[in-house]
Amino acid sequence: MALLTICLLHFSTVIQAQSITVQGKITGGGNPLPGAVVRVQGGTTGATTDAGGLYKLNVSGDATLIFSMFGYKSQTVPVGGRTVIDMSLEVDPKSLEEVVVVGYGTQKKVNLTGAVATVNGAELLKRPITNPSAMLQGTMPGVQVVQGTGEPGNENAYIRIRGNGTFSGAGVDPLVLIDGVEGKLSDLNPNNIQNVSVLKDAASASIYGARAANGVILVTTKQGVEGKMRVQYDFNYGIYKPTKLFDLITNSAEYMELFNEARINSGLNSGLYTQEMIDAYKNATDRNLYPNTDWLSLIFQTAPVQTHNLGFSGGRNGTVYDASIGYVNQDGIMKGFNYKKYNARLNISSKVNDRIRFGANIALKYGHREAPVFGSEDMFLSAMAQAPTYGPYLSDGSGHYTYKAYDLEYNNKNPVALLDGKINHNTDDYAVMAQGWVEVGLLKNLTWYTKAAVNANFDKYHDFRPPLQLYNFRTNQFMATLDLGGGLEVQDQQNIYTNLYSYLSYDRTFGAHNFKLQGGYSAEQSTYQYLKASRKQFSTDKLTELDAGSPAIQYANGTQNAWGLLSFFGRFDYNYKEKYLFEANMRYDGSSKLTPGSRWGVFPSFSAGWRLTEEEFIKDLDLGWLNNFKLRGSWGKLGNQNIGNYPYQSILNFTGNYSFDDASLTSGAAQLNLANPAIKWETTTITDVGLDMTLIQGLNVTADWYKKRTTDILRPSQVTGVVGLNAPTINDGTMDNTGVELGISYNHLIKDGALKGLNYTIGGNFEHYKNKLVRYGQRDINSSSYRIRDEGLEYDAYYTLDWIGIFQSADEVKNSPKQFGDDTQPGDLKYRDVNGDGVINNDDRTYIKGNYPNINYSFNLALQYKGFDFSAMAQGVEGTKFFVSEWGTIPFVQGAPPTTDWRNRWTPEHPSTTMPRIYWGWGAPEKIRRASSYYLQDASYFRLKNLTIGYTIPANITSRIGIDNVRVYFSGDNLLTATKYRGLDPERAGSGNFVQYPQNKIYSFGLNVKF
Amino acid sequence: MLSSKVMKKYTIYIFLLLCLMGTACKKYLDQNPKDALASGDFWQKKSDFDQALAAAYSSLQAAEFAVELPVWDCFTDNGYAQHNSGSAKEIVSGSISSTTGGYIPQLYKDAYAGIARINIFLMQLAKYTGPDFPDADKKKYEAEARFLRAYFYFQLYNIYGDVPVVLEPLSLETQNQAKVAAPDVLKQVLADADFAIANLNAAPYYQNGGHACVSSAQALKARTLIFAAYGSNGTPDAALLTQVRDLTQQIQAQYKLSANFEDVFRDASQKGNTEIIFSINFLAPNNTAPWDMYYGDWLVASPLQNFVNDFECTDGLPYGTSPLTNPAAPFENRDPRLKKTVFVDHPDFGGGKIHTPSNSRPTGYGVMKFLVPENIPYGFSTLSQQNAVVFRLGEILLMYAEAQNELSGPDATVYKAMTDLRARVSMPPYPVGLTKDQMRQRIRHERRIELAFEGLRYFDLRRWHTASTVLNAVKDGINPYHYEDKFYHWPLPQPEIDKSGGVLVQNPEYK
Repeated sequence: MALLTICLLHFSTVIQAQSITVQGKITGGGNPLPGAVVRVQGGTTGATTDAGGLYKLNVSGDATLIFSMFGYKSQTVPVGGRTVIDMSLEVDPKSLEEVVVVGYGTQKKVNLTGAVATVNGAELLKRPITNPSAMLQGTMPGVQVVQGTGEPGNENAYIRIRGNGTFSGAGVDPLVLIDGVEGKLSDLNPNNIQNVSVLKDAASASIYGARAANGVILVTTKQGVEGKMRVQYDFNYGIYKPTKLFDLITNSAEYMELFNEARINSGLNSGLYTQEMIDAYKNATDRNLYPNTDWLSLIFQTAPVQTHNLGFSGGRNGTVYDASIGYVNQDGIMKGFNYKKYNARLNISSKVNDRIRFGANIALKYGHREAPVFGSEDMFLSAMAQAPTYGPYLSDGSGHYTYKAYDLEYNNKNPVALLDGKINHNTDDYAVMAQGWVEVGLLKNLTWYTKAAVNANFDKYHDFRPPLQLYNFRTNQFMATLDLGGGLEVQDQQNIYTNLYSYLSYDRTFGAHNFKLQGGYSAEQSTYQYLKASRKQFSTDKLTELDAGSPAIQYANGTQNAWGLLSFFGRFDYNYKEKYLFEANMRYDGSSKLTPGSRWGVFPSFSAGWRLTEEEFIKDLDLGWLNNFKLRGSWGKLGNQNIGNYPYQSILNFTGNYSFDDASLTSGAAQLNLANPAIKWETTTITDVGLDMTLIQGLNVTADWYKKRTTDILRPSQVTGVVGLNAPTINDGTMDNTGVELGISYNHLIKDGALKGLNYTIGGNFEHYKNKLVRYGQRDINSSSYRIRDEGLEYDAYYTLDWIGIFQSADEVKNSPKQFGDDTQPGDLKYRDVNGDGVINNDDRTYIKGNYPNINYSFNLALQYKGFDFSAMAQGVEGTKFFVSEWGTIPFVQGAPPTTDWRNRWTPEHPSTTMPRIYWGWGAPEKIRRASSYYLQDASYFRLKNLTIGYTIPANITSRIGIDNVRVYFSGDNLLTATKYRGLDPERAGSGNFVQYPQNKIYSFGLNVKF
Repeated sequence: MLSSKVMKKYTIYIFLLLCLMGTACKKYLDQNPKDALASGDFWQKKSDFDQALAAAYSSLQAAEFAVELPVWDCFTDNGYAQHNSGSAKEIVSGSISSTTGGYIPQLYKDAYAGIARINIFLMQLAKYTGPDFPDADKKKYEAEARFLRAYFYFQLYNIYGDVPVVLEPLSLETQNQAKVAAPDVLKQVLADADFAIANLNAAPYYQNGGHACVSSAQALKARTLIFAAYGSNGTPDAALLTQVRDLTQQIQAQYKLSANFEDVFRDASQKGNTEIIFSINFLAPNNTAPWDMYYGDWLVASPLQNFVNDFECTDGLPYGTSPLTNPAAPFENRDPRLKKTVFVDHPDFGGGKIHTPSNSRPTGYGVMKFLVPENIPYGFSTLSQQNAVVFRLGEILLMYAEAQNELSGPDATVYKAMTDLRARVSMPPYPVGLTKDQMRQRIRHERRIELAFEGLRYFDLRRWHTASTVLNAVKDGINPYHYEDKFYHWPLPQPEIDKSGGVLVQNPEYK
């Protein structure tokens, strides 16, 4: 009997297992959905809908189909023998079904107990820029991104997650993992990014233990989806301009008169322009001989930038792939700068059988960067430090480069000579990122995942500096040789990083209890090596290889260093009915950088969450408007092992060579540093309390409060000068960052009425944090003399004299406290007597807040309606100040002309309450040059960061020529800015020189074509 | 298709293997630097001590002791430092405080860095018992190290006065050292110098392969004593000056003035030069100092007009008084040292060897003394290897004359010393019948001319206690000059006071 039953069952399954063709139309919101996916549950067959929303596939009659599309709620229906199955999908409020990438795995967003922010790749691509780090700006609360400059390939973009965690050399950069392996965002092609998860608190990040103190950024690249091959081509052409440049005095006669006034005010009574010189320029008719040169216009240009990307993805029979090639060619708005980037990637994964999947991600990148030899800041200040009295070339048509028009003038290098001569420092960098992984289903609930990866970076520098002859503009005679160091220097460096990690995952449900357990290990090693060689004497400028130079003067340097990290990690997840959530993580790391005795560190974390909306009593209330409400909290410890490679060994350096006999050099060896064998990890402890809620099916709110405390900060100990050696690194220092974050977004699809079909999303992110130096040791007033490190203040807080106005009269000077030993005159800066002792001196320096921003915020808006899409992002920073000085602030530094606002300076005839007397550059007296809040500028800003308008040509038109989808768009970046900052752009890497490579304002148009 | 049981077995084996691989590679967690030595591997043979001694000498190459010696003259009536080298502007205008930058903190740091290197060397030398290093040689090495240490403490004594005296290597635990009264610092300088005199080679420096010799230590001791001899108010101490006189007499026996004045300062003629008693050596291409770029192209130091006017005419009379005075051609018929020390607007060595400086000439003059014509054009790539001359016979003769004049008035030996010195540049001897005061003025004037821009004028004015009078009277400086008595000693750098946790106390005049 049993045998018969088995046979019958067998037959029935055979009958029902016959293959049939199922087809239908998938719609969403009444419109056909192209690109939706129909999959057989538990099988490998699948199809995607075409432009008309139609699909067709062969399945067995008893199969179950899953219909899904990103942004819509999935539907699962059995075929039940039907041959036509139409499906209407509902827009998914996203928050409830979304799965988030976390450390070593994924997690449903509603069950997260840690603070994780996410953004998907499409969002990042709205910005028509080329630097992937900068694309993260304004997308997530708690993630502060600053792009230092607009220089191609060298934007100096940095990311800070929840403030500045430490002041040590360990650094404050977050750990960036690309598909689970450490990598650089700048090596990526942004079109390859599927999504980015940022792990902000200890609960989410502690599984990365010793490297996670500053947060972790997980980038997942696109893996491909089954279906026929989809080809996508993206093109963007952008016009880049500077967001702002300043106006300099370019009229020679005016320059000369101000030059003389400034010199006389500074007590420099010699080296003035004579009245004849000034009159010659005032009355000249030949503007070739007597020019009013605008040097800045000679080095800036409108720059074109193009980006191309071609991608292929698809797959069948269990193998999926995503391949792409990309090309970027970016010229700089400052002449002489160019960056070309080539990317290629192949992500492939395959199901061997029911249990085993394996795959490989291979990416290649080549970047070529050309830049003038001393960099962008030097180029800018060289162009500023020129008088308008002469042009870059002599007026006699010989093509010779000008040095000066008059001997008494001061200047810096002729920038046009540097550009023409292509006196460059060129960089070629190659990167190979290869990963292979295997996932094995050992038992029903036990999976084993292993990944091995190699990242290799090869950089080559090429730096050639021939001398240039410079001539006198007035006399056309040879005047000087521009000597930049001479000769050729080449450098090859490579960094090879390998990582092998492997973990087991076990998840099981017992009734209402869900458990997940993970455990694994990871081994990493990184080796860095460089080789540098130079020769100084070349007989011709045309041959720029080492062998073409004379071996009479040659140098060679090179070294290698390495570090290794071995770790064990584990995670335990538990939830009860997805209502009470609990998670614990732990990582045990050993680093080669610390002594064997203190090499290992434990980094645990615990977090818990409570979803009120899953409670029966809330469900009973049937609050339709409250879809999800979760409270969560976490606590944990993270480490930072990013210190120098060999901080604990007591070593002797090869230094102090000396020639006793004036004929040969005896090599020297001496100890330079005191060593400390007792170094251990820097530890960051983070406590986080947050809530996530979804209201009215479309409004998502996330809010967090956190406190980050970094202890045992690695720093050079303060050592007195009598020791005569450099201080050893010790663990001594504590820094706190406390803050709040808020993210709000609302998404709605209008389902009826005049605007039916309009889908809009609006949102905003806010973050505020406070940085405090809790323990530092002796108060340290930095040698640049405008910062202080003192316990209780923010780190490196501004500490200067407080400028309160301009003296208007000699009486006012007499009746005010005496300022230093100055010869104070009307028109000079007036400082505040902070300590009230009747005298202004260094004791009147005071703390001024502004080294860290008060609030970082951004707003975004996206609309889609009938093929049109519109999005705007505005971003702002409030409360930052920068101390900016030298060229562009005090006039005539190295002869640089003043900015036009110096026409409103204080003079006895036209007194001013806002601008002082004009003084002369580095010859100016101390009373104007000393550090005060006069140089501290408010850099708060609010800007329309991005505006994109696009139109997707109706599918029925494009499908006639075999193209699924064509979208044309306009995208602009940094379009409008509101700020009080008087300089170039309020977004900059930090305090320092007033001049730096400007930020880019971009107008671009582009094309997305899907075949 | 493997059965799941077999699969499970294999996968477990592979997993364990991977784990083992990971733990076996634990030794890759032991990494050591590949371009530096662990200190346990050093100090094992004599050649290690040679390397360490070379490193000790090289600590003298700090800018303020070597290539920037001329900058010290810009703190005086001799010159102007247009780039504010060493914080010249603050020092000249009197804004000297514990937070002033430039040489005030720099010299403290560099001197103690040199002292630390020497103390570690001496400690290791005392511990070393290898057979390849005989005791006699060890004594010489010890003497050289102590000579260097004496030089550093001399600098500290001269500039700050009361400073900590450190004779052992320090650590984090022992880093807070109190200062010691200036006379005790002086005692340490003399103790080290005496040991050096007793144990160094007796050969003259030009036959000693660039290592310090007895006469180098004697010259150091003589300078130390003559700098200390004027006490706190300018009255000379006869006992100290007698020692100076005796030392300088001994030194003179071994040296001869260089035939050409400029040969003392140009690298081609410095090796084997019979006038140099000790110099800090440089060698191109890897161990150079930017002499030509600093003084020939950047004009780091610019002589002042009053200094130029102070050079006599060829007849021995002052410029302005002498009938040879010619304002239309002021450099004609002058003391030949004028043209060798100063250039007008740009260096011109004749025969087409001209260089146009890239920086301005704020006083119209530049320092010619240390430039080498073969290195033209001067710029970043110029590899200057001139040695910084620390002691030379010219200074010894002047010290002898100064000491002897104070002790017994202007006797024949004083006249002879000055005549020999001036004869080298064909200047006439002094007129006979000078009084002690007149001879003193002559000698002080000769020091200013002969040793111009060698870094000694600032200390001369301070030790004679004429700084206030001379400097506050300077009218042709670019910056206003202001000198106060308290500037006879510089303040200890404020960060050092702060870091010492109250152990190091500031000079009371700068509180």
